Amino acid sequence: MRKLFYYFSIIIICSMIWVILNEELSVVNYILGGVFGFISIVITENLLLLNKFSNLYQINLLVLIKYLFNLIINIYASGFTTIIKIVTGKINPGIVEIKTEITNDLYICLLANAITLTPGTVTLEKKGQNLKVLWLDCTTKDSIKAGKIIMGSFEKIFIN
Amino acid sequence: MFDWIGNIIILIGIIFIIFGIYGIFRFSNFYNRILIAAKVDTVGFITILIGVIIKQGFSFFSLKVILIILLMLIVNPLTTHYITRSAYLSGYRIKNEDEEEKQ
Repeated sequence: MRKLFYYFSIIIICSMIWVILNEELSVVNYILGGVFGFISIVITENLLLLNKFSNLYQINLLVLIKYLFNLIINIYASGFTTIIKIVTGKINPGIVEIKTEITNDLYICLLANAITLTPGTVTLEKKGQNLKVLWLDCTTKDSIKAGKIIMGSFEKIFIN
Repeated sequence: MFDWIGNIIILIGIIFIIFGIYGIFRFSNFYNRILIAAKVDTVGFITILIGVIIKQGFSFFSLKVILIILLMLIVNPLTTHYITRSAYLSGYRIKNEDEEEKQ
């Protein structure tokens, strides 16, 4: 039952994208989008993915919305500090290793994506729960202190 | 009214990109350049697209622009990550700006 609801929500999202791309709001167009979404799900699950969709991408919609909201705020906050660093020229790049407490693999990938998107940090490598991060303003080499500064509020969203 | 707010937000995005290009020419080390080049442009690009959405109002056009923003949020970190990782694996190491100028 839960699996059925999961696939149903994916088909609804697919048909919404179809309607947006075709620029025509009608029932026939919506049903056509649903049919194409169903066909694409069957093809990707049988031919491209090694596992089922519902095992690989288990993500809560509320967590995703919180994540996007947090991402936009963080991008702008660190964008302004990066501009100040460019103008003054006081930069100190370095590579730090940090460790997360998140166990889910998809959430670690989302965390690494957020670290790369915020100005001033780029993820270099991911091995299990360890992340290697290139940092523009490397104040400490200590992994716990650096992790608190770099990850900030993102880790709390995924643990909860 | 919305036309003018959109224009001002697009102008702010262009200013972000100008600072990014200035940063690329200011620093000489590879890692400093990639950190600044990819990042300030991210902020500028998102700001410009938000300005376009506000200027256009709610329509199919602005929904398509929102799809472009979501796609960019997924794809842009991947390209930055691959360029930096390949440079790290092929042996580039971090040097200070002062040491490079002395050589």
